[in-house]
Amino acid sequence: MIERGEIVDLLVREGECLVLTVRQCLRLTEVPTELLAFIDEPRTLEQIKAHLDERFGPAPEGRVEEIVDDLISHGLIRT
Amino acid sequence: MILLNSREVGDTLVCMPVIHALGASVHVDLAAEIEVGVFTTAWSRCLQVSQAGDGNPVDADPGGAGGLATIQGDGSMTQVTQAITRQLIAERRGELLMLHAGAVCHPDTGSSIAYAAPGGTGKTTLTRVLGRRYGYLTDETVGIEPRTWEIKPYPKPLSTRTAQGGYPKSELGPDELGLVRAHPHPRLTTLAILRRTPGRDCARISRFDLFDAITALVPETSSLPAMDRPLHLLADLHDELDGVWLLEFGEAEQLTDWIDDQLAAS
Repeated sequence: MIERGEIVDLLVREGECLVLTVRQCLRLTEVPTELLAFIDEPRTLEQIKAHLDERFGPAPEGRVEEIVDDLISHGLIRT
Repeated sequence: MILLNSREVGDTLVCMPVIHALGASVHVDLAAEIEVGVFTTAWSRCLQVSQAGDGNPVDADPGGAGGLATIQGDGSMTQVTQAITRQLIAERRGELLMLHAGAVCHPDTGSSIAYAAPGGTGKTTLTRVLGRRYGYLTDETVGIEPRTWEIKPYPKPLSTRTAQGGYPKSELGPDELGLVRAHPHPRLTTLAILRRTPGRDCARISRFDLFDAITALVPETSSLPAMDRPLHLLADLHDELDGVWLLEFGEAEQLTDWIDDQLAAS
């Protein structure tokens, strides 16, 4: 399962967002913003892929995994 | 009235002044190698407490007894100032939005400008220029009440780097420098980020969009994650002030006309 990391606050405007953790403030584009909004409760990778497919259309092979890895590296989500 | 507590160390009475600023109080143990007179002169506006009905504006809010500023290092005035700042910030953690910024206010209306920037990039110099005409609030830490945007002053001594390698800094009190006293209820009406480039021949002033403003402000905050929904708070402030400004400049004097207009209009 994938869930949110230690996020202090999340500000969404026009599909993009700012995320504040205790260490940093990051600006996310539309797809990772939607991903983060979707995992307001723990989700599987398959659920996330299905949600993003529905929202934005099919993603290139491996693209969702890349985004997940990137968000994990910044501590915004965790497995 | 000057509040100077003391404690006994052997046969010696050590002065323990109480500093009022950022809407809080801290005790300072002056066992350090600093003369009381030097300290009280430099910190004159944080030691003074209003006399009810005297009609004089005050710069510092009296508060209840707070924590003790623990002085580390060489015990110089610079170390004392840093210790007081750390303790005051700790006292107001989670209550005030605190920015690494200088600030002055219109002495009649209380309209205030805060200008955030990393250390050593022009806050104190700009404050000394503006403070000749506008009320001095701080040259280092601006404490802002959420929702009302009232500023809790911290009229500390102004720190300037000495000619001998920049450290220790010299600390001169606002009264020694002849800075104007603040309005009793300053309120933030203009917020800017300073970006100084030595040698730049004229200022460029622009407005951030919301996300760029918040991204620029976050590194200039203290204890931001302790606030309730801090990004939303910054967004509310951005909306209240109709934006956050970027001030690119070379010398402080390049900004004074624009700041005059801002403080006259709000």
